[in-house]
Amino acid sequence: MNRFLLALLLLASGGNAPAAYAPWPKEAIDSFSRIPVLSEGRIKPLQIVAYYTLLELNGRTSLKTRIGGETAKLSASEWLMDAVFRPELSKDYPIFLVDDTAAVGSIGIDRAGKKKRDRFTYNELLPGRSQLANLAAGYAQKKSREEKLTALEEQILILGSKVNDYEMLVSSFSAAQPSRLINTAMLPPDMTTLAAKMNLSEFLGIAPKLPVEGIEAMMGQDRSQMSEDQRSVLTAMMLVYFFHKTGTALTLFPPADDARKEWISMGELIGNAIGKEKTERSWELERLGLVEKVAQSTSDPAAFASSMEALRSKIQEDANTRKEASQIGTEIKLYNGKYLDNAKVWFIAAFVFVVLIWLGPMSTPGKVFTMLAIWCGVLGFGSLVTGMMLRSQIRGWAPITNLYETFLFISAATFVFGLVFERSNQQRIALSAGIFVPMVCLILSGQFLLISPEDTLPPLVAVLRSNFWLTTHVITVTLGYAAGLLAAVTASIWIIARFFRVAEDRRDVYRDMTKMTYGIILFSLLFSLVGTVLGGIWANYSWGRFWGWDPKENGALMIVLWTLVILHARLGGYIRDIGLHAMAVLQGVIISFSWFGVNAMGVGLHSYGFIAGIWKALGIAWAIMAVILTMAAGLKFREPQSPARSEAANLPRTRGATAI
Amino acid sequence: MAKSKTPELTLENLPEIGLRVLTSFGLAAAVLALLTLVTLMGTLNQIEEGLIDSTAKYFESAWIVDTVPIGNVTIPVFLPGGYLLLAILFFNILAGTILKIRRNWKAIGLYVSHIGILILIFSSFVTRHFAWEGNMALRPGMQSSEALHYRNWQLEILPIDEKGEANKALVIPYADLETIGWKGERTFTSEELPFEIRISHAARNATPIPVSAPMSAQSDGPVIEGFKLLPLPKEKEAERNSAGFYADFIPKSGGEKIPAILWAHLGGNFAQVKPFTFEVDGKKFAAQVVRERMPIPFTIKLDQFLFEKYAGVMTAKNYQSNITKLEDGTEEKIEVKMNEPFRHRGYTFFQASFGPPNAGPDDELYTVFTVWKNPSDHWPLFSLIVTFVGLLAHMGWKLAEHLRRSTRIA
Repeated sequence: MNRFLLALLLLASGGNAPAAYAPWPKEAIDSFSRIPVLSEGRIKPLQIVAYYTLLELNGRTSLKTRIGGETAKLSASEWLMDAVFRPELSKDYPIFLVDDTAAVGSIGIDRAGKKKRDRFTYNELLPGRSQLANLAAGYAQKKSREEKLTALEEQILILGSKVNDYEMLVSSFSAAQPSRLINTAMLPPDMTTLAAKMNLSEFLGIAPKLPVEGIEAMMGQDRSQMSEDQRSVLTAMMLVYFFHKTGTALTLFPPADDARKEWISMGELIGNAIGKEKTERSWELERLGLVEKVAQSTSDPAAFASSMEALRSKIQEDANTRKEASQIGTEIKLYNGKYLDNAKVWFIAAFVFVVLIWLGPMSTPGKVFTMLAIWCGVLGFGSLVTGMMLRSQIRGWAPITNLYETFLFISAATFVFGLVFERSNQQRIALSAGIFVPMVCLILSGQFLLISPEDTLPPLVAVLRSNFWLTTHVITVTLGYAAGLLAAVTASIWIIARFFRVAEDRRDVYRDMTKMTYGIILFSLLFSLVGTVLGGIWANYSWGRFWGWDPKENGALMIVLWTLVILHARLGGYIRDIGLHAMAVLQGVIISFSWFGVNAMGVGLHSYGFIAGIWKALGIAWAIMAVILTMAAGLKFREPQSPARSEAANLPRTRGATAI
Repeated sequence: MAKSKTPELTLENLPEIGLRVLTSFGLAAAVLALLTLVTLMGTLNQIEEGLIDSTAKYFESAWIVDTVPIGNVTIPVFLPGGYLLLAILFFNILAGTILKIRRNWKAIGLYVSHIGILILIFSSFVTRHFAWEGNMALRPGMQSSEALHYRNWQLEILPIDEKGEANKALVIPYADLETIGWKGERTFTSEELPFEIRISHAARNATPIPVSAPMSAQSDGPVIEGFKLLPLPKEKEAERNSAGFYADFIPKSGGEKIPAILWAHLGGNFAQVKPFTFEVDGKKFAAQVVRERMPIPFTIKLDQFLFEKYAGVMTAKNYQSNITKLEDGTEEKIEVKMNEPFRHRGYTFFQASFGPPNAGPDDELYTVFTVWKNPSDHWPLFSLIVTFVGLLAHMGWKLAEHLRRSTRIA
């Protein structure tokens, strides 16, 4: 069909064409984003809940969708606002990312036109909803019996969990807008009819006291023995019960009782209200009323924005009274400032200049590109450190408390190390490595979130709640990782350059590179050794033993041992330049295993760092390193060295006292 | 030590050659490389065999005799174990430090840092042979002056007096039981007992099973009162193993032997053990398999256990035991928290965990301390300080030398 005919058809359909996307007022988005909420053990802005939920469902932190023939790009907060306050519209957003669409086929949904890995809307999945729930429940049971699931079963289980999480999140506000239920098929027709015209505040204003247990007892009675009025009351009470049970995903309201730590969800609010005498419900009704005002003003932008702000202010005020939620603004600043994303962009830009440097390192353009690379790196470093400081401020703990934060810290540390070594070496090698490693680490940090789409600022487990040990052991041992990785990269550059005969006549450059790599290895040893022993001492204070052969401990030990192997083999003259660099690359393999591999094993005491699905990424990294090691072997075969020719001959030798 | 030509391999030169090998960088590098490999293998092995068995097989052994499956191929492995490697490394460093490092002030940092590493290795040796680790579980108001081993079981024989009470126990320790094995047999005797005890079919993890159960066919142990002892695969978490064996109580007076199946009851922290009772020469006895006990020369009483979790999740934020130490008629109030253990007279109490599992909000919680008696408790800290000072001194000297050279060149 040509475009003209299509346009005519669209004109003819007239009023049926879907309207373009109507964005929410900026003030409303801002207020909604800043609403404090207690989630996963800590108080955070609602924007963060939206961010990680969308990441979990959709594999992205924003959403692109076609509405009314136009493409709308929605932030996580806007998506959640749509999901909650415009469920009919948002049910057509393609937010459910399915890695293998066969999972969707197995619940009877047509997959025509979809790729193997694709996204589905809620409405597309709705016809198979009950089958999905049944299958997912069965597979969850199977998993709980420690039986292995097939890849397809795993996908169905994940999809079931995603749909369930979505429904629960959207239902968090349903009590304030009963007419906007996410899935009316969940309720019998009489309840759906009642929900369409019900105002819960009004109902709770007149309804008699009936605790939740009382409603449950009522629900167990024989309806056929009830009068019409009794049945109406029962239907209304069942609706209250429904909202009580389904509105639990978001705990929005700080309780008046200071002794109580848990906040109150909309569901609990409703349950509490109906369990009290109607004269004693003012606290609950005030808060329910504020949410209802928001829900009722969705078609009036100004009223919507002001009612949203009123809701936010009330929750923040309640939280302030309890001396809670003081870091909401800081966290919004962290996410909206995009410090970590910006750092990634700056380091990518710096790396582009690094590539350009190598077209002529010592030429005038090369010097300009060097300055540009350094400045981009400095800006990236500044942005990264700002982000890390904000994260530290939000939690009140040292900057490394989990695996995600090691990416950030190692990025910052390798850049600094790179600059320090570049200053003494000035061959652009340390600079290149010091920009390459942070760039890769920051890209990987984004990939890590896709593998593990969870809040990166979770509450600290009891054993980690010590700033002394976090700043001594964790930072020291991570600095050891950073230096070791930097050495692996400079060694890789050396091997690749030698293999491809780059500047073959510049033996002095290669000699300097060898010296530098050796220096970085020494640096790595100092931090790894001290950090590992400090970890043992911490373990001695926390768990009662210095060393327990736990996988994470062993990983750190392997780094120390291998560094010592390099140094002693070098001191004994068993390895020279090629051997030194090859062993430094192997050091990179060991560091990556210790950094991630042991966490993916799923055994040991360091359960706060467990991750799954990292083996593929590690496999790629190790394959690259294997290629580099093969090059080193080829180099050894091609260039059998005499000690006199070796650049490493200038390093400390075996006579008498030697460097450790 | 001045570097000289390697002597010829003759009988007279053997001590010198041996010393050269012992102090060589080559030996150090080889041992360190093997330690790296053994650490990697022992770490990966934990996925299949758990921590305790892997530690015993790879890190506490003199030799590793094992097979490693790679794809469909099984590769036999024969390597020196962690214990042997650390011992060689210790003597390599010791000899190297004494004989190889130049004797002048410039090398002082190297001396000091190597001494630090020697302290560390020696402390691991002391811990391996002389430390004892157990636990003590207490409910609020309860007191105790003994800790129980996490994994080791022992057989206790209790003579019962006329009042039906047992005032002392004769003990066969774990070390004597674990080596018997399923095919082995060993007889124990004591002047204080009118019978001998013959132990056979010992398994680290086992359970009694009625002969009517189909699985009983998997056991070739004898049938006693319709039951057999079924050996089970070892658990990955070693503390979940329940030791079991057959015991024959053979009267020295020549009467008929009394056969029994004895096994350990896991049953949680406060489980009551029901002993096997029998009579020999008109005297009553009880036999029970219980966790190895360590008496503590003072008493710990739990006054209060405090548990705080993060709101809305099950993650523990903090837990703490408020205890009273009772000793020689005096009382002392102490708080034991995560990262803040209580140390006294060589014993250390760590806040390890709490229970019961899946406790409701109104359930009374009990505390579990890990109790250590380790003569080398603080040695790693000394080692770290010594090593760090040594490294700092050496690197500081190197830096100063580098700067001096740079200034001279400038």
